[in-house]
Amino acid sequence: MSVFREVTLAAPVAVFKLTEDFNNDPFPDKVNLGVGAYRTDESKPWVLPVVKKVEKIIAHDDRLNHEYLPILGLPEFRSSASKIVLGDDSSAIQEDRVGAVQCLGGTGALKIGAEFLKRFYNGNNNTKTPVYVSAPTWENHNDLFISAGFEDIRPYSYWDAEKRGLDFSGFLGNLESCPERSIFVLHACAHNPTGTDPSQEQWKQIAEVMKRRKLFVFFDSAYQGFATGSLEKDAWAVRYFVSMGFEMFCAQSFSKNFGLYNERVGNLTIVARNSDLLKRVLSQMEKIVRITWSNPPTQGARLVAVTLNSPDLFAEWKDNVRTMADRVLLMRSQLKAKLRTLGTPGTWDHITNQIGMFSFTGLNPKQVEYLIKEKNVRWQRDADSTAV
Amino acid sequence: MSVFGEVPQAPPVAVFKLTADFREDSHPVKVNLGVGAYRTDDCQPWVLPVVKKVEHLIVQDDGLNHEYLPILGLPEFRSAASKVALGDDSTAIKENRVGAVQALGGTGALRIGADFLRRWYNGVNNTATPVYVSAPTWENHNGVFTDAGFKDIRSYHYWDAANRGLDYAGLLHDLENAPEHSIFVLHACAHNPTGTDPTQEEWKAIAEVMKRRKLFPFFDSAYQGFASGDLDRDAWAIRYFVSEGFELFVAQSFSKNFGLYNERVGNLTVIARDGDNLSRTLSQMEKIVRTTWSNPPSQGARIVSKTLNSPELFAEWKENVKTMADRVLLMRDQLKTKLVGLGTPGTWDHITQQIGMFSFTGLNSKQVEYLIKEKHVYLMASGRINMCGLTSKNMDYVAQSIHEAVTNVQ
Repeated sequence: MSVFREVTLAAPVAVFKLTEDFNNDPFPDKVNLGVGAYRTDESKPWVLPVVKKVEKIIAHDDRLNHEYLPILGLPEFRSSASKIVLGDDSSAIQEDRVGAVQCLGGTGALKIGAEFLKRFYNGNNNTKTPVYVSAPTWENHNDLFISAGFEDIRPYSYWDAEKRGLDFSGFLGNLESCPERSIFVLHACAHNPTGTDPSQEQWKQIAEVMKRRKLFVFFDSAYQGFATGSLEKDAWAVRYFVSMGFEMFCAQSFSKNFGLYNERVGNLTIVARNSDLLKRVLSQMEKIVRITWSNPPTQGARLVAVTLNSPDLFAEWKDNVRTMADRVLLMRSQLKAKLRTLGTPGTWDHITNQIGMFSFTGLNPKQVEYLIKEKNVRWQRDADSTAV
Repeated sequence: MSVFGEVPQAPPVAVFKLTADFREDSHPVKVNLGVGAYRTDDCQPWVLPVVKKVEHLIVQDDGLNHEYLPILGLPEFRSAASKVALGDDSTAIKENRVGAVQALGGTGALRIGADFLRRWYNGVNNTATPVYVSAPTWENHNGVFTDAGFKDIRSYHYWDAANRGLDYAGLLHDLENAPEHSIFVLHACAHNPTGTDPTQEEWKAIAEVMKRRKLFPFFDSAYQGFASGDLDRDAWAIRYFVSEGFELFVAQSFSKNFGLYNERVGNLTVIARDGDNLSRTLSQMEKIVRTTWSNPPSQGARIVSKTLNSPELFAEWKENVKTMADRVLLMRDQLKTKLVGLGTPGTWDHITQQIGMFSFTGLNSKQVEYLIKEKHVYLMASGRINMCGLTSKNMDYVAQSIHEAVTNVQ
């Protein structure tokens, strides 16, 4: 009699299952349009040249050791990571009211932020505060906030399937009608999975409502630099909100823009009204980190810190990022052109209007199934659309 | 008006605060016997030679990339790590009922195990199942299980302060009286903070009670190899329990025995009755990992995996581990000899009887305060010292300081 006999078999995570099926497929011309990682034109993973360079520097630096990092992480990583998203000239940083927690990728940053908010936001242990995530959103957002203890995860209107664009009035409607102090998870740029971002004017309106209705801003920033090729452009929304005086969290991932997926490099940037509050917040974050992973892993954070803090390496990195962003833009442009030439029914402007790694093609589940089964092209199934 | 207006300042973690105070101390002869990390005889951190070698191999290998690991981690790391704990000849492994989750150090392994048990053990979401931790224990055990949702964390008798040894009768008594199905966190070897382990005979008796009363063994194994210098010896208790047919968890840390503290290399080894129960359990652990860190970091696991899976590197690693263990044993021996030589009141046999990185000196909090304030010798308020902080150069000073503390302060 096993103590585990009542344990049910959990369904696999969809995106990993997709890649597993792809790997098992013997068809010579198979294509994987599923998992969100960069591929070269040869369809291979790409270790950024600057990363390879810095890895060698680190391996040969005999002054480095493996002593525990502080609970909140490598200080030079945390500060340079926050600077990357908020800008070199950030007054919030100058005012000493920006802090950070080095985390395990974007997931870890969201997790620590969610755990903190559950304990301390809108009362103590107020698990009833509504958490709004976009419809659709990254499949892990929902479960993540639930695992942190929140009981009320709601969707906010986002994707308009008919017009294949942002349902802006729906979005604003949710912002106006939700309970005050609700938490909103916003995608900083390159929305996953739709690739559809608000325009600057739309962000301004979103911010106005959020400020008026005291909603909490929790940015998920996984594609800075990767979306347009410009770090500044991709951080515009985050910086705008900071300039509007919001207190907020920003979960940053360096998985994609550094290609460091498996070293789990993330940063939870915190903007508070002043440094005293920040200090108290960080002290509580330490407690949460301590009982989760104790202190974070070094390798990835060192790589990023060394790169961001050296002018030459930083320039080289920006170049590598542009290489990736440019290839994606080229593929978007070529795919649309080909579909047009083939006379494929429908409009395909959204392929080039959308931004970042993903495109919501507008193909329906039957069409997706056809592609997978008959054409050995693998990609995500969603309720009524597909992500490429 | 801030949304953070009501957030109170949290106190710092004691052991990190101690090291921070030590750093700020400008006294020339200061000694840090606090945080649990190995130091050389020059009081420096030590990157194991085999680690440096493997790091170079990894950085030169252009066949490697940074693609996401599977959620449960690097497969060759997980299997090699479980094998180190259970033995090459483990029948449980051959019977395909051993699995593992690569986790963020020992902490991460405990966390995933605790999160799983709260959801699935002794009923579904049974937060009332008592969790027993030793008195005393590593200061983070309580917090990890509490945050996983368990409402009833209790202590089991362990340290007998009067006799400076194991309160064996008390331990057995608690096992006999714990509610059935209670979870017990057991230190596989080199108990933290007391350095006092049950003997093999005592472990057998513990296992007998636990089996009879259906108690769940959750081993915390942070010092395998580091305690006695011998991997198999340090894993004896775990292997005994497995051979007795228990289903159990082992939270393994490679922070100390690989000196890879900051790469967060851990492994939760899971032993189930059969492969089917195992695979269901692992599937649920995937869900927990996905909402915690999604998938684990690669670097440390690659280093450990490469080392364990290569006969030459494995042999070299065992040598490096023995170097650390031997230095600790030498320091224990010398400290006791010095204290006896100084005629310091009391008995000091426990210094050499205890095992692993730590020694529960038996010093009281006043004596500890004296050592920190007057002698600039930093140790935990409990009287716990890290033997690795001792060196041939500071040995006399520390022994003399302890002597003064014991004779001047009561």
